[in-house]
Formats: sequence, structure tokens, C-alpha cells
Amino acid sequence: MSIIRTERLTRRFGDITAVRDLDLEIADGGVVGLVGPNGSGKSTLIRLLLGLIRPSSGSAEVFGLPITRPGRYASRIGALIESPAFSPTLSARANLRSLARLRGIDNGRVDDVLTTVGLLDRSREPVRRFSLGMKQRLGIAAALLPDPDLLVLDEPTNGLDPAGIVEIRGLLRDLGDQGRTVIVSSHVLSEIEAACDDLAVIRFGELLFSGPLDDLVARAGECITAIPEHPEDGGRLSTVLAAKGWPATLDGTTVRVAAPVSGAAAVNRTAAEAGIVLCALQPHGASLEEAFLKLTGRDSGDAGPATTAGLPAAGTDGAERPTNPHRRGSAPSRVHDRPATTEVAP
Amino acid sequence: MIHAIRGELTRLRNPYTLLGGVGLMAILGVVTTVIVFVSAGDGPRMGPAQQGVTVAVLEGPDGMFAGLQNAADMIGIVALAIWAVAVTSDYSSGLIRLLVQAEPRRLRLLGGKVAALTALTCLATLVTTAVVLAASPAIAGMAGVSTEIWSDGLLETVAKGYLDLTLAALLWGVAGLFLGMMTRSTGIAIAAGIGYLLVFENLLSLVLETATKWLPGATFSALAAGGSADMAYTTALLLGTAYAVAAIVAAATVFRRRDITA
Repeated sequence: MSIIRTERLTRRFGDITAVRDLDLEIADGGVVGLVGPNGSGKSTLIRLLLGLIRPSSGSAEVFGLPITRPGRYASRIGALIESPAFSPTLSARANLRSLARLRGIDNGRVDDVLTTVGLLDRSREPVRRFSLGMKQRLGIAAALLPDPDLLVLDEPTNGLDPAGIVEIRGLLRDLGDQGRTVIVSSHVLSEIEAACDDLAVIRFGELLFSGPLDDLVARAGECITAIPEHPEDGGRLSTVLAAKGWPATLDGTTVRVAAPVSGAAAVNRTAAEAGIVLCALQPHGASLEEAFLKLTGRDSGDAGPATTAGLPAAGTDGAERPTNPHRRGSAPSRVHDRPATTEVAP
Repeated sequence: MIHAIRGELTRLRNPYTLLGGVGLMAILGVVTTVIVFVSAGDGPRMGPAQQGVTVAVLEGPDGMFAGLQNAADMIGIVALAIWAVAVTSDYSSGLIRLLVQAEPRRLRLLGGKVAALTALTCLATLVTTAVVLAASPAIAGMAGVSTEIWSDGLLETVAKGYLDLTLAALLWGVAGLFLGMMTRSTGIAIAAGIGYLLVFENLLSLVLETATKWLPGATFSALAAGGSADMAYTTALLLGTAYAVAAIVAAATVFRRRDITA
């Protein structure tokens, strides 16, 4: 059963289309990662689902109820949206009590959630004395207050120390294992990889991928990296490997070969036949980060279309560069893979 | 809506609001009372006692309220600030995201805030009235004003004085709510409120004397004073209520439709 379903969901802010014709289904239960570059529309999507903003067009349902009537499902959702926000002069406990009363929740639940996030001992201190990590914990506590079936957390580990990150990750996994649905929006892909079962990737307000995280990583494929003893051999190695049918890219002194892990010996042999001595040869599977960058391109959402050093200018490598379709009138984006560095044609 | 009221009251129960807001109102009430009593003469005077408070007035049955009536505008400004901050701080801190997510029925949320702020304002004016009344005999003695007939109809006088002050403070507060909702900025809301009600309206009255007596600032002042030469008490009450309803409807409409992007 889908806990969230959107159909051609669109939200515009003036000329900017933050969410564009989004069709997304999130199944009940488990931890789902919501990822995308800055400005991709993640926060807008969350705000739409929580009823903080209204859609320009399209529709969406949460728990089978329309998002235009969020009051009907708000009691089943807990959320931490962007940075945690509280009255700084009030204690952590008073802040949570205020929210508990607003939701009609018993005060006893406040102690429960403070214990869960490890803030019970500091709960009488004013929030203004809290570190960012403590505020983050308090934000998670506030989200947990209604004992929600759906938990939406935007950058939940922001400001936490490594032990805190592991702790919160464990908490999210526990909640997911209990059959609740946890949606985690984050830029920290290693966190997403460690905590999530499924993934939704959006860019420029459009859905690029939705499904099991393993599927996305598998799509990115395995590769082998080879480092020639003499750096000047890098280009030649790329060429001979490409001639053998293995697309290779040169990144500094490292040649990245799109080949299965089992092809490592063949790569070594090919290099030797060409008179190139390798000082390193490492087969490895793709990481979520690589899969994500392959899917979304290397453009930072902050910077707009990239001018990253080392990347070929648009059109010079025969590949289309992603365009920003946020603006009305610009061409719609197309999902495509683009080499991180100079591509050597086979 | 009861949940929204309880949630808002919990947040208002912080030392800055209680000691700062309520304390400031009480201090303004006492200081103005001292000035009014000390500066009172045999004839009408200008200055803080702008309504021409004379010793005879101060020695009358409602003389103890003369200072509070003169302080009503300043107390009103404090109320305006408290209400405006209650709205704008939700936006500036980002707390509005949590509140609207917890209670998406925004009119209930706003209704709870209005009810909680009304309760706080009533408490603040009650404390202010009590402090000023407690200090008044000593202030009168210091200024050489007789208090012999202050006890005549004391309860009725106190109830009426408290009611007028509270109603006026509530109207100022609603103005703060309106400005806070429109601007979402504490500084701009308070500056606009003070600028309009105390400066702009007074300047306008120099040019358009007849029309300005119906404007909000004049209405609030008339209500606090239990009626004035320009406006009967009942008229001030009705007009003030109309202003308050219009301001709340406008604020509610904006809040209900506005995107929460803070």
C-alpha cells in the first residue's frame, strides 16, 4: 500500500518551477531516502506533503487523504523540516510541552521522546544554550511526539557528532523496522546509504529515480581503476583499453575503466601488452555517491549549470549538458550519464 | 481550538514575556501616575497629563485612575509589541513550520493565539491596575492630593477603570497582531504601529481635525479614558470592536492563504 502518492504534482513560485509533474509513490513501512542537489525541490515536496504550501497543479495523497486537507492526517505525521526551530528562551521540555498541548498529546510522552533522543537530563535548560546537535536531537524529539506512522526528517544528522549520527541512524532503522515509514532527506549520501531501503532522487523538481537503493547502485555498474607507473601513459592506456571495448576515462593519473570486477586481469594484460606498467589496479563496485552523480550530473544545485574545471564545455564532448528547467521556457531536462572527466571514445 | 490555546499559553509563559511585558506595563503605569500627580495643578496642563488633569480631578472618586488613563497609550504600545512579537517570532524562528504542521487548520491555530494573547493582556492590565492602585495613595500623599473620597464606589470605579484599560490594550494588541501578520518582521510591525498610531495620526489631526477623531488611535485613547470630548464611550467601544474585527479577519485571511516558507 502506498503511504504517499503524487500525480503530476507541480508547484511554481513565480517563474520558478520547484516541483514539476512529479509522479511518486512511497510504500508503507521502511526508511526512504529523498535525495537531490540543492534546489532540486526536496524541501518544497516535503512542504507540499505537510500542507505548509499548496500545489499549483496536480494532486497528492498521504495515507490516502488529499494534501489539500492536511488536518485530516497531521496527527499521524511527525516532521523535522530544515533546521530545528524552537522558542530559544523556553526550556527543551517547555518547547515540547507546548507542541504536545497543541497536538492534544499527554505530557508523559514528552519525557518518552526526550529519553529517546538522550536529552532528558538537559531538558530543563533553555534551548538557546543548546548546541546545534542538541537542537537537532530536540527537533527529532518533536517529530516523534505524535508517535507518528510517517516520519519526515530533513537532514536529521546535521550537526551531530559521529556517535550521535550512528545513534540517530539506529533510531531511524528501528522505526523503519517497526513498520513505520521514515522519509529522510539528506545531502549526506553515506548516511542515506547506511539508513535507507529505498530511494527517490529528484533534480530540478523532477523525479529521476524511485525504487530500491540497491537497484540504483547496480545501475551505476562496477569499474576498475588503474594507475600507470608513468603518469604520461595515462592517455595511452585509456586509448588501448577503449580499443578493447572498455570505455575508460582519465582522472588525473588514474584511469577509470567501465568494466566488471572480473575483468581486472584482462585490463592488466592489455596494459602489459601495450608496454605500460601499472603501479595500482583496483576493482570496485559503484558507491551511492557515484550512482547519484551519474544520475543527476555533477552540477551543484547551488551553482547552476557547472563550469567545473576539467569538465568539457557543453557540446564539445558530444554530450548534452543538463540545462536548468526551473525557468519557464527552458528545455526540459533529460536523464543521461555524463563522464566525470574526458571521455575516450572506444 | 482548546489545544491551540494551551499550546500558545505554554509558550507565552516565559520570563521575557511575563516579566518584560507585564512588568513594563506596570512600571509605565506607576511612572505616569507619579508624573500626573506631581504635575497636577489648579488648571488644565499640557505634557504627560494632556487631558488637563487638575488636583480637583485627582481628588475625585476616580482620581486614582487618572495616571492609568494617561498611560493607556504607552501601555497599549507594550501590548502591540507583545502581540506583534508573538506572531513575528514564529516566522523569524521558523517555529511556524512546526506549528502549522502540528495543526494545519490554521484558523484554529490563529484563534488559539488570539485567545491566549487576550488572556495574557487581561492578566497584564490586571497586574498593572493592581500595582498602580496600590501605589496611588502613597503617590497622592507625596503630591499633597487628598484621597478622602476615593473609597466612594470603589469597586465600581476599579472595575470600570480596569475594563476600559483592558479593552484599549486589547485593541492595541490586535493592531500588533495585524501588523505582525502582514509584515512578519518584529521591527517593522512595531515601528509601523507606533509610527501610525502615535505620530501619523496626530499629524493628520492637525490637517483633518474632524475625520481623524474616528481613526484607530483616537478611538483606542477614547476607550481607555472612558470616552472623550470627541467620542462617546459607546461609540468608541463599537468603533474599536469594528476595527478589531476587521484586523482579525484580514490577518486570518492572510494566514490561511499564505505559504509557509519560513
